[in-house]
Amino acid sequence: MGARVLRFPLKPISSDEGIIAARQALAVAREERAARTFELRLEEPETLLGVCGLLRTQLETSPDEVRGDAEFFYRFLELPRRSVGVLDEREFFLGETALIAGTACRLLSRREDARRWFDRSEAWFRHTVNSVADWSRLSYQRLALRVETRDFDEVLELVPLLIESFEKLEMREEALKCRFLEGIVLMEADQPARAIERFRRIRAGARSLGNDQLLGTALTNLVQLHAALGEAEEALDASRHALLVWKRLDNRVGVAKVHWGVGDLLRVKGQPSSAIEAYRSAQTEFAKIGMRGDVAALQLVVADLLLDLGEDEAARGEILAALPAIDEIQMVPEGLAALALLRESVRGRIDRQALRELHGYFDRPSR
Amino acid sequence: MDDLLQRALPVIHSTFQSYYRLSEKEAQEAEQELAMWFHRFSRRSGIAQTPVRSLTLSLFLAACQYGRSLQIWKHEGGQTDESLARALAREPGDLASELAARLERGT
Repeated sequence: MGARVLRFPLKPISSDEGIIAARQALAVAREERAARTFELRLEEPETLLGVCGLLRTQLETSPDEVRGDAEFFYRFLELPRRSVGVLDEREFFLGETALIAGTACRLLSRREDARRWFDRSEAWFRHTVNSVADWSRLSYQRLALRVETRDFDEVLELVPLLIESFEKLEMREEALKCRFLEGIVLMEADQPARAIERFRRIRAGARSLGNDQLLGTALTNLVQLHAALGEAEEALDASRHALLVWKRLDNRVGVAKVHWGVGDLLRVKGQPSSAIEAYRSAQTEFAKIGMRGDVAALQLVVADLLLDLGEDEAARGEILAALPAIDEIQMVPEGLAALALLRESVRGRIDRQALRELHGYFDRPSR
Repeated sequence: MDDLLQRALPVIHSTFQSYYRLSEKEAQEAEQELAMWFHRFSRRSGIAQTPVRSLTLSLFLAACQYGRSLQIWKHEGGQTDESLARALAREPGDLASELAARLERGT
């Protein structure tokens, strides 16, 4: 007579136990996790809720790790079809892990991958109880991606609609995040005064909501805006506050972007060597996190400064080091022309115009 | 969250029994599962800032989807009387809005 192993249902775990289980699951190597499903309580909704929360907090610190883990949980839940929780929970966790993976890809400048993950997220969020709110969060990420691909007109058209949707749902933080996108477009469209005014309002809103993440991001953008205008006092004041917030949150991307802003200020103030030092600190942080697009963008900025200093060979070295990463990330079409010109010129006299245009096409402001 | 659940559960119980015609045991089991779901639901991303009114609607929507799905599954391929067939044909979102309004009036 053949024996059959019966799996007795486990007692549901509490939310605290779920967070502990999530930490344990994430500490196990991805390739070993699925085989330890039962022991790690991977099918428990509390564990999955904890995993999503932890991955969200690590997005800005370790986007590449988060992308891998979010993809693991997405695939784990997708096939074989697992019974997870009740009602819409399986669909929610599939939509949420896809949204997290897409957000991580966006941060890593993997734009096509980000789009694919957002499409997957949309398909699953269609079946959640709170689908309007879930879709709105997804729409925000899609708009942020559009800012990065410089579809500014579309962003300016769609942002007010999304803000209205969040305000109807009384999701004030999400509405405030959308106002960021408007501010960023104003920054990119070279309207610094309007952008500063917008970010000051966001700073006040974030303070009243007690949201440090939004506050840090507003301050970082103010650093960059004041730096570009050469307003040293305002830029340094904003950078001091921003660094306090980012260090409190242990947000390395935030710290790196503040260093970038300080580099801009030093550059505008005619201190190229100190500017290069500040850019290098930012670069080191970005490299640790795996944000290759930002590392490459800074290499181009540094190359530009080195040319100012008459160090043509060092500048050439920076450009050659940046090109492979630029090839890998998905560059916007306008940037491709500048890239081709720069590549052509790199062996002879470096095309400064192409160099400057190209680093202008990279993601710059914080969002 | 607990307060909302306590106020909503009698309405949900009555909907399970009189509208979706679940047995007492089925209704009790469904309420237990729904309560656990709701506690997890309230900790999802973006929900923390959601006002009670929207949470109430989500809770009733989940309850109506639960009751309806269970009864459809039980009667799969079989006959149902006219009033149950009408209840199962109704959109859960529609009924959930009515229940949320009823709860609001009651408080």
